[in-house]
Amino acid sequence: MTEVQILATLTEYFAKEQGTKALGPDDSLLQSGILDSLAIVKLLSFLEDEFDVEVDDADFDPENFENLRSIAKLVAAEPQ
Amino acid sequence: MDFSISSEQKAFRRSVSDFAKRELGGDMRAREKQGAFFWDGWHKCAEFGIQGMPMPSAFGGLELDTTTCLIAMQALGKECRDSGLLFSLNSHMWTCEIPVLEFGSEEQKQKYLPKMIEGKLVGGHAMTEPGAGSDAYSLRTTAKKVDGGYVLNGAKVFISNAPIADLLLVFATTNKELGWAGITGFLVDKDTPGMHISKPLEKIGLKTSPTGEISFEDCLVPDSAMLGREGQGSAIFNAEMEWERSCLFACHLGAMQRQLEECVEYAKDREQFGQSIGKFQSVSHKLADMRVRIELGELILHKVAWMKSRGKRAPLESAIAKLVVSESYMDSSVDALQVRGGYGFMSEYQADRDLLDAAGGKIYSGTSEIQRNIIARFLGL
Ligand SMILES: Cc1cc2nc3c(=O)[nH]c(=O)nc-3n(C[C@H](O)[C@H](O)[C@H](O)COP(=O)(O)OP(=O)(O)OC[C@H]3O[C@@H](n4cnc5c(N)ncnc54)[C@H](O)[C@@H]3O)c2cc1C
Repeated sequence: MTEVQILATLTEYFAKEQGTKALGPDDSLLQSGILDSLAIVKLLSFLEDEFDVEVDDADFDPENFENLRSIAKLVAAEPQ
Repeated sequence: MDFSISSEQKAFRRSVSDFAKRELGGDMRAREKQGAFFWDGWHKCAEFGIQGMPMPSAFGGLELDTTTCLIAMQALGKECRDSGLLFSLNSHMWTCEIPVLEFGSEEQKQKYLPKMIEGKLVGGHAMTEPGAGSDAYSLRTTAKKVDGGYVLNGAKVFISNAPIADLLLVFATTNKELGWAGITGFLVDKDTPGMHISKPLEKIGLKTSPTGEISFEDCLVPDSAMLGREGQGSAIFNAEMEWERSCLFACHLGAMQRQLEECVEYAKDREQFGQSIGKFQSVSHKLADMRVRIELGELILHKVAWMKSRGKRAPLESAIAKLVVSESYMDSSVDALQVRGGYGFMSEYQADRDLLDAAGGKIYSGTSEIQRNIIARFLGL
């Protein structure tokens, strides 16, 4: 899957989770509180199921979850 | 999913059971009265290999898979009545050893793991604070970057093993504004200046597992004490909770098996109205319910282990497992007491221990309400 396709899937996921208008790729997820401590746990499971990637806990870095674009980049870089 | 158990796993379970029956007895009531930690049992567990079960052989561990660890913890829960010792073992293994293994640098692993596996170092983890319990990530303990390290300031409460621990995994915030993303873990050795550990707190249950408070006053730890990277604290905490919510609660499942066996025996022997009380449906149905709870608890715990063995995350499943097993243990403890009537209320039968252990299980590792919140969040609520 390309980064663009991943971004589209993530946008859809967050729209459903938030029940509000779609987020832009660079909108802040952390500072805005959209990605709280439970939302991140749920998101990591979603990434594993949806993209078949293993986001290793040891490589976990909050910076990678700053916005949709950074998450898409992370997923695209993970071995599938 | 295949949850069948191999012959090697069965043999290991047998050896753990035999070991626990042989070595982990003693006068539990006396230890409980004194609030004494069972050091002899701790060291014997280390000799047997318990503390090293999930650890790589390179560090002296047995390198067992998650399912085998779970089966072993269940066997310990069934055969060892010193639930405080088991609780301390669980805290040590899942909330200190495992994080060091999964997030530690090579140097940290070499420094701590072999000694933790040998039982020479006792570990614990310190997350909860007076103002931050269920809302753990609102913690206030700070870690301020200074030349050569970090300075910790703050207070922790209800920390298992703290009074006997040599090593504590301490969670602090390196950037309060980031909330959960600013939480960082530090490995703090017991004699570090500025860290003060209280005497054991008096508890209503798990009396043989020492619990304490910790305060940090300008406690300087070197950069090398950081576990993982800045901001990785939540990942560490989530990973350890998945382990704890499955393997620790396997001990409860073992205790429920013991409870059931004893109750069935009692229901066959005890006669009223000219027949054994087990012939009364209201009694036999309680025992049937106890059996059902064990079966369901076992299934969900094995599912978590199965997922973890495949390198999958199991946040939802481990929350369900923790909730199901802890609440089942409570329900079965109440039933076990009722089935024995007045005899169950006498100290001799030790029903109080199961009841109070079960009550604790609904609080630590995230309360039942918090597990339901996690499950609800996965429902999109
Ligand atoms: C035996 C024992 C050992 C422990 N060991 C450790 C340890 O080793 N390390 C460590 O860091 N901590 C440890 N703890 C602390 C434990 O994790 C906390 O007690 C637990 O997370 C609850 O926090 P609290 O006690 O502050 O209760 P609170 O968070 O104040 O909760 C009080 C009540 O309010 C409910 N509640 C709170 N928030 C919500 C919500 N959002 N929705 C619904 N209900 C809510 C709770 O479920 C509970 O019923 C231990 C606790 C015990 C009892």
